[in-house]
Amino acid sequence: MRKSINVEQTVTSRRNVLRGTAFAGAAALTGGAAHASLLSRPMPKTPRMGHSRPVITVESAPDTMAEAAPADLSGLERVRQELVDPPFAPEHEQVASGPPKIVEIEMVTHERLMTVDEDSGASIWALTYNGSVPGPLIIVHQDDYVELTLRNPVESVMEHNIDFHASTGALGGGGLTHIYPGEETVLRWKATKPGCFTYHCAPGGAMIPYHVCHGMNGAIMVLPRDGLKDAEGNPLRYDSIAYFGEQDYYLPRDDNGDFKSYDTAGDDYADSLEAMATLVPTHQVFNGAVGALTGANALKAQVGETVLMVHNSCNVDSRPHLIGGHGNYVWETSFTDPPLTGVETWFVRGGCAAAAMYTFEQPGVYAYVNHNLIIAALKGATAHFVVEGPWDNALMEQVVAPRPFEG
Amino acid sequence: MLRVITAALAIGVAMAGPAFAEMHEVQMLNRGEAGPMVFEPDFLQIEPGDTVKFIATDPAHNAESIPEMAPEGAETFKGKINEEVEVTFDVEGLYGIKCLPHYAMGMVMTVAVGEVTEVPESYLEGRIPPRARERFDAQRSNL
Repeated sequence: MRKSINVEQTVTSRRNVLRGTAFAGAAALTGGAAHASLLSRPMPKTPRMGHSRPVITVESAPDTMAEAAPADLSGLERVRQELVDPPFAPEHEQVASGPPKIVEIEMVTHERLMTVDEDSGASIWALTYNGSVPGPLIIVHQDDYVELTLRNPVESVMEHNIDFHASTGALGGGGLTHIYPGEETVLRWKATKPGCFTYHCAPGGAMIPYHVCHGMNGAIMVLPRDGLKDAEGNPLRYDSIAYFGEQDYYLPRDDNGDFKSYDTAGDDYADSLEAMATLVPTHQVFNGAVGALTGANALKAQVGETVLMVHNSCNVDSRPHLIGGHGNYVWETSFTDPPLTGVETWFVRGGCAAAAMYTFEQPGVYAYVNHNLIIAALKGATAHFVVEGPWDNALMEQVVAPRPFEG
Repeated sequence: MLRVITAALAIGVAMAGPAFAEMHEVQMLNRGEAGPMVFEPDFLQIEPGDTVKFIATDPAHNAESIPEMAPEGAETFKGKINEEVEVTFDVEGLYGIKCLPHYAMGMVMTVAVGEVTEVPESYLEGRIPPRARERFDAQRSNL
């Protein structure tokens, strides 16, 4: 009996698929046991809606994994980090005390119906980590180990996994964390690179953007062990963290132009792919919904308070601007490079998280926006800080209140 | 490469012997009579040497065998996303087929080749998502 061809290896190219075909033919010629044969034909027709073939395929773990020596984790202290809902950050140290630790975290892949815009009634069956869009902010220090327990409730409809951009190997852990409803998995990885990084679900093929565009992404901040520093190496400390997740949604509409609603997660799959392929989001919001961080939900701060704004954008480029303030220190990519200083508008590459530090100098409302102002005002990417404290006339003064003038 | 395909096809036909090998069509759909994400039909009773054509009616699906759910000695296959594939089943027995991206959503089908009266003991023992298992169970009742 001939050994079956390795099913994982057959996906990589048409040539390999054809090799399998030739193989089956050869077996038939020898008169041996009959085998199912695959005749793979190129599709002359263009798939509907103009989707190109996904180039991202899901691969299993490398064969050498089974032979690898166990990691030496002796003497490492284990701590548990309780993750909290955005826009808040988990309890953490800015400067690590002691040697690297194993930081245990837990995330559950909840699929839940969320309102995206109360005014229009737009909603989505969001795919989430721990029920929020974005997923919770994780904070560790360089050389810590992140040990994630990932659970997919049995009520779920879909398979999930997680790709940490901060990690190394196995598609960011994506290749080792595929879980069906009712399953859990544990992944441990070493945070070798300091910076803010995206994590997201990546089940394979078109499911990757589908999950990402349904909210399944978030950020991890890997701090240098001795904390953040300016270009001269002076320590930079913050009083609080504001965590923004910029989310692009592509919500399907019906023939009347109204947003469609669906009974369960996954039901919108075909419609969503069609809407996503336009590359034009129907909504682009902070923290899951239009107005999630404005009005009664605005962030609060005091004059003199230093806020670290962590901004995750898994899919689309963004250019955050704090209206009425600045980015005193901005780390667009890693914490290894010195921060930009005195920045007007900074850049968050799609597939990236960035950090910006600012100390409020005046009271009042500050709008934190994507300074593509169409996106800010019409698509939803606006948040507000309401800052309390004394006004400083030396920084700004209304010399003449608006009044009519003659001539 | 075309020559390879043609040769293999010729062999496939030759293998089928004097009996007329049939072609069965299965559509891959985002929604069908059984709900979202389906092969339609999701159960086929065919003869050895018959071919099943998996048609990419809706986008983003594939058809591939589940190695643990195939008779011993049967070749495995894995169609690409959005690709129409034809698979000739020569070995008698029960085959579980899945769409990889929608496996968790229950997009599976069963192909019974030849005289299959009972389900092999190990057939449903593997790692199968709950919704796929429900549909496999339902498909089994066709035997």
